Amino acid sequence: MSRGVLIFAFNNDKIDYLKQANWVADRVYSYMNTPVTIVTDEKSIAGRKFEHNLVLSDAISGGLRNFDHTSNDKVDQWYNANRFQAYELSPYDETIIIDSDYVVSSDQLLHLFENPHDVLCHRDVYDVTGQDRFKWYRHFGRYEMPHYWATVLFFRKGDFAKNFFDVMTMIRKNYRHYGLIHKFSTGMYRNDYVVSIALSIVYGHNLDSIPTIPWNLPSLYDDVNVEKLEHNKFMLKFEKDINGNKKPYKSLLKGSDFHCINKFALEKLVNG
Amino acid sequence: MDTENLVKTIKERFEYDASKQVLKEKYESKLLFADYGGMWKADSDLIVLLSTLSDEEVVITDSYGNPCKVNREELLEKSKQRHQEQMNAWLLEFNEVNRQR
Repeated sequence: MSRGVLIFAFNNDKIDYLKQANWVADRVYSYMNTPVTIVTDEKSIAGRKFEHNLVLSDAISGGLRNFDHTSNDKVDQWYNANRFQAYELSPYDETIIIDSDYVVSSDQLLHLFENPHDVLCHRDVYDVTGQDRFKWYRHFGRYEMPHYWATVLFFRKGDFAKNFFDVMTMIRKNYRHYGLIHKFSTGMYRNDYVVSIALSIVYGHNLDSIPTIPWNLPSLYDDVNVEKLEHNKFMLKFEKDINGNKKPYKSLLKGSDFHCINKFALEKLVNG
Repeated sequence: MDTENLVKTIKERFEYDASKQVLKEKYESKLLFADYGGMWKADSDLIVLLSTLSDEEVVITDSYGNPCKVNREELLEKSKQRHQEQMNAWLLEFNEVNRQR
């Protein structure tokens, strides 16, 4: 049974996602000794050579996004809407899809290949800076639909996973309709929402029965800066609000994967 | 480095509680392992349960709540070994974090 990691990476004018994905792919290979396939397009490749397996697809935009919370001039297309194609594009029987901003520093994800379920993603996230700022992401929409994270998505090819991706495709085609049902903003396409609704449907709307990745997703908010100390050791720098004053703090992250939402901090890591 | 950044760097405090919480999350996730068609967490609950039972083969629920038939002694041995390995590693890193304060 073949196993591998799949990363989607489509560049825009602000961020070189393919370069980030290639950096993450190198780390996957180092820590997990697992092959990686990157789904991208010719425009992102731009004549460059990459060592990892590349699969070409047309980038699908999920709308405009501001990529920097500190300024308004970093708005661009966000090509994040291809994930529903993963079942067809993955060359592996068992696939872990990760975002290009998921920094691998351990072999933890290998546990997913051993689990008995055919589709899994994270339900719970923890804020590595200890500020619990992801508590607002427990649910989405007016009716508090449980929010699952598409950052890491495991699937094993078979009828169940095929159904899951067919349902994702259907939701993508009818995104506005589902936005109206669940009362969430459809201005920007969100994989998390699509995955959450698809899981709910394939598990017969029995939300308690949805299995998830049995550990929490370590995440850094978009204002946390990251410095690499060693290959798997990072210093996090952030501010905390203490009695109305912003105070600088730092903490260590060693041998643990993390979701780095600050794209510019990640870009600095990638560029060394 | 300009003066403003220098002052900021000097004032940076080490966030001990967050680092401690990160270690807890990290090592709890490392307690997981797969066997007998199930996913197990080598924590004290599992070790105590397996130690309490006496039959050679028992049916217990895994981390997902699915019943699995297991060889009690074998699973207990694996759980104890993984538990101890990860606790030792946790202690080493915990001491490293304490030195950062």
